Amino acid sequence: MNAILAVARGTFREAVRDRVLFLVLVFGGAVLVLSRVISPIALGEGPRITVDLGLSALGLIGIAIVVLVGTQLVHKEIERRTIHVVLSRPLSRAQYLIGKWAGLTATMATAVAAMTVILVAVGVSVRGPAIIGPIVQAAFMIACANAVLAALAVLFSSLSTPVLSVLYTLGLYATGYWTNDLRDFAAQMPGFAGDAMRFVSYVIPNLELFNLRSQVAHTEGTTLLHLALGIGYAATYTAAALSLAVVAFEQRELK
Amino acid sequence: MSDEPAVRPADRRARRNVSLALAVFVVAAIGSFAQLQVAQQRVTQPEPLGELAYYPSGAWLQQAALGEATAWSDLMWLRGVQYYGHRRQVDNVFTHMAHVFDIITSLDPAFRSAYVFGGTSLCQEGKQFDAGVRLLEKGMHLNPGEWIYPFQLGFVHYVGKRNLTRATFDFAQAARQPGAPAYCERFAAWSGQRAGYEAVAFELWRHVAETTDNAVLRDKAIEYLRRLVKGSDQAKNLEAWAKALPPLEGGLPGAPAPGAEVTPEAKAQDEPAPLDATRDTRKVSSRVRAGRAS
Repeated sequence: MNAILAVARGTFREAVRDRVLFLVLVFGGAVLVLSRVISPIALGEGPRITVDLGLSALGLIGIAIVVLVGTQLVHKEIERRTIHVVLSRPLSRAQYLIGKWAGLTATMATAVAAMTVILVAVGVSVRGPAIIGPIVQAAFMIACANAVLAALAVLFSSLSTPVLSVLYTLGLYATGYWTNDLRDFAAQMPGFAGDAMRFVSYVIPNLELFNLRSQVAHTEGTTLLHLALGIGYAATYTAAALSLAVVAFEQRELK
Repeated sequence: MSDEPAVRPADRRARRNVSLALAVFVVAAIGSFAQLQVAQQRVTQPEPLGELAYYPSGAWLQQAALGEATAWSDLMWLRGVQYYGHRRQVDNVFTHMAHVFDIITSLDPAFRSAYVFGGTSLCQEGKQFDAGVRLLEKGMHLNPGEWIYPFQLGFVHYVGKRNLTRATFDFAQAARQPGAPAYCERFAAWSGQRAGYEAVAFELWRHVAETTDNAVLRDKAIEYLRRLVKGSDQAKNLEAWAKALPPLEGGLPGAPAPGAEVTPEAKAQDEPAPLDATRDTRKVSSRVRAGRAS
């Protein structure tokens, strides 16, 4: 556990040193300011637009961190050959990968939490205290979705080049919102094609499960059951993705 | 011999390159600015917001939005409001408005303001009554149990088509929904009893002006109220009542400033349908009689 925490701390520090969090906060702040600037031309919908666009920025920033940092995590260390130094210590490859995922997730979660604090403050000023619960719930679910994508980014990073890892992760991010549609298509398809598509729809992460943006737009929260299922799904999917990453990484010959 | 250190040839070359690059930058920037000015004057500009016609359906966009459908509906709302403001300024012909509001409400099926503003505007100054009704019926279909959609349907049928039978039915349906305010039943009764058309229309527009968050919708409502009391002794009270309403944020992008010139075509198109010949302004609201907002 200590070894995992040490790798996670190193990954987090590296991201902070690369000014990832600073850039994220500047970008997020700019989006919030912009959304307030356009609110006077929104015909009474300014408060809604401020919160909606802030929440979208929050989600996209999380994705940007996961994709840009996560897909290079392992590959960069292999390129620089620093991985040999790290793995020469009493640290298994599994611990190394899990630590990398934990550090990446902590970086993403810190950015999401910081943005959430700002968004809640802005949201309360424009829509009142009733918006606090929905924003916090939605931001938490966004962090869960991004944790799943972080696990996939680590998996691809341990298998492939950064460019391909970015493509794979973004591909799964995009299709993650279509899993329900894929199941609908599968129901229309006969025989093997339908079964195959249904199987694929369960393999791809169901990101729509974590999407509470529409509820926030109407100042509505969700149920505890929904939150619990979201946490459970994120935990099990992440565990599955990281297990595959460990299997692949253990087989990999590091030159 | 000078005390100054000799400048190395490499440094001299670097300075010369920087000066040259800055000179090229200045010339290129001025050149591009000048060309842009000429292009804006000489090259035919596309119709502003004409691209709205090519926007795909909302159902397709919902899939493409990757979980950000609500944010896209907000951006489309801004685009729709911009289109509305522009067309109102130019000619009051809202060709793409139904399409834009259909997209907005497909991206966010619970976007109440889009249904209410889009439906009312299409039915009134858009002169696309069927499209406005379709939009409001879509809201009713996608949000069962919400009283606002049947109420708005009753509203547009009453003030737009004077279809009192249909308006009575819609108001009554609104009154049956959970959480419906008491005035739904009141309007259903007035409409059903064929109370004086203008008095009920007055109450409906007053209700819009007092309850909307939309500055344009409120201005529109006050304008209709002015026409209803024109020539009567209530006109002055109406202005006092309108002034007492709490201010709303924002206006219309591209819309003329108060007192600014509007094109004659837009002005001609903006005239509302003539009111019922049997004017009945006796039953104006007690609030307006007193000249105060609620």
